[in-house]
Amino acid sequence: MHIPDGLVDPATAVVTTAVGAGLVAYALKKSKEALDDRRIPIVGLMAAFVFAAQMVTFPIAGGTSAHLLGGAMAGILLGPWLGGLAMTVVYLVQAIGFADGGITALGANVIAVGFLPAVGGYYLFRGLTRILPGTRMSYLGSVAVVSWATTVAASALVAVFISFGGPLPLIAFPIMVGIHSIVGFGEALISMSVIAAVLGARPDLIFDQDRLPERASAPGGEVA
Amino acid sequence: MGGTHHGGGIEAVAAGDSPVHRLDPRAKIVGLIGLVVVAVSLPPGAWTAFAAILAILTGLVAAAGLRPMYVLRRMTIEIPFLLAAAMLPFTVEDGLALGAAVGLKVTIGVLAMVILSSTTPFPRLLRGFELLKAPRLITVIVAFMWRYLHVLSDEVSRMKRAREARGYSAGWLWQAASTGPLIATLFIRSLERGERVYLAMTSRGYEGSMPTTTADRMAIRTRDLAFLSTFAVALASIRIFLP
Repeated sequence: MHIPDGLVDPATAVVTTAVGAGLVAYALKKSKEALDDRRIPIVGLMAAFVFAAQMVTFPIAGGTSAHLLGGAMAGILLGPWLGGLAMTVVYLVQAIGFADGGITALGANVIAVGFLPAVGGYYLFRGLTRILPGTRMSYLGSVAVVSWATTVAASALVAVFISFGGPLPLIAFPIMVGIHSIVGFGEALISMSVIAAVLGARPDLIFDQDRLPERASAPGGEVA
Repeated sequence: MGGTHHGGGIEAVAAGDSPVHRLDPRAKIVGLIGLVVVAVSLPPGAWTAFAAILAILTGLVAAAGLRPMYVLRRMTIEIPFLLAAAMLPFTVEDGLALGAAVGLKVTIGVLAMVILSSTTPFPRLLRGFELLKAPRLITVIVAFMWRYLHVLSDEVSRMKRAREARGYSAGWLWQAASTGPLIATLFIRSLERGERVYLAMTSRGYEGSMPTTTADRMAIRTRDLAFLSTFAVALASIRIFLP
């Protein structure tokens, strides 16, 4: 689900590049305010991890390819803005180092499959864990719901960029969203496994310490 | 369907030597990104302009001594998008010209970045971006990500070996069932390894950027300026006169 060069119109490319740059600038500002130096390796690892997970791709008949996204997981683990930056780095390196995703579509990719799942996913997760009881099950259930929902939302926004803001016909929209509502289940499973493991072994690394399920925050909590 | 297009010996090819390899990374970054921007801005029907840009890229491939099969293999990443472009003639008005233009733009974008990454080793590329004043937090995260990719792949092969030694054989369904826990374990193990590495680095004086050695000291030379000005003139004339 990386938009290449040419699949968004020049006007869309200009607008999405400007908005993407604005988001990155804001995320840099927010992250510098709050960044503890010792979190840098974790951000790098998250980016490497998402990068590796995105290597496994499934071509889609309608044009683009599907793979795991990792944005929601990055947002929940690192917080919305650092999570968004980790995703930005992934798309930057994929575009420049691997020709995967266009350089003029980088803004569109960073918005749709970077910040939308990381920031949107983070706040959706905050909302869900606020209304649900503070148990491990509802915590991980929220991770799953948020992962699925952000995958579908991201694919919808990509479809908007390449059809309304690009040359492809509107049929791209149902194809993208349809396929990603299935890919979303894989996304949900993987995010849940990873966050369950972090919850068991290193709950101190999760961005929002106030939302941890009760047992995990206790010392010597249950190991996944 | 596992695409393994991210691997494929890029680092070995990038470590080669040619006039294109020897150019300063900054010149290549600015020149090739500029070329892609010009290509994307072209309207359908500007076939001479597209052809001229493709000729420039082909010239660079030849000057860099990249093997055609290697370049083509790395360009297979664009196949799904070419298929999408191929559907345009049947779905929209004037779809033939539009589809051809989209296909050409995708191809030019992919080829330009394949050339950039195949003639510039990753650390030099990163150094180029640092010198072009990319935000430091971004370049630091990129540097760590690059390191961790190697940590992760080592960790994966260790875990695979451990699984196989315990009688695991990789069938599709079985594999799916144990993928979640495998990935979770991979994450925690790489994380703890990474934290140790980071502490070791900071205790040896790391302060956010790698020390530069004489080997990767960079200077814009005459040939870089010549490359950039030729590129600028060529791209400007293509954009202004050819469509």
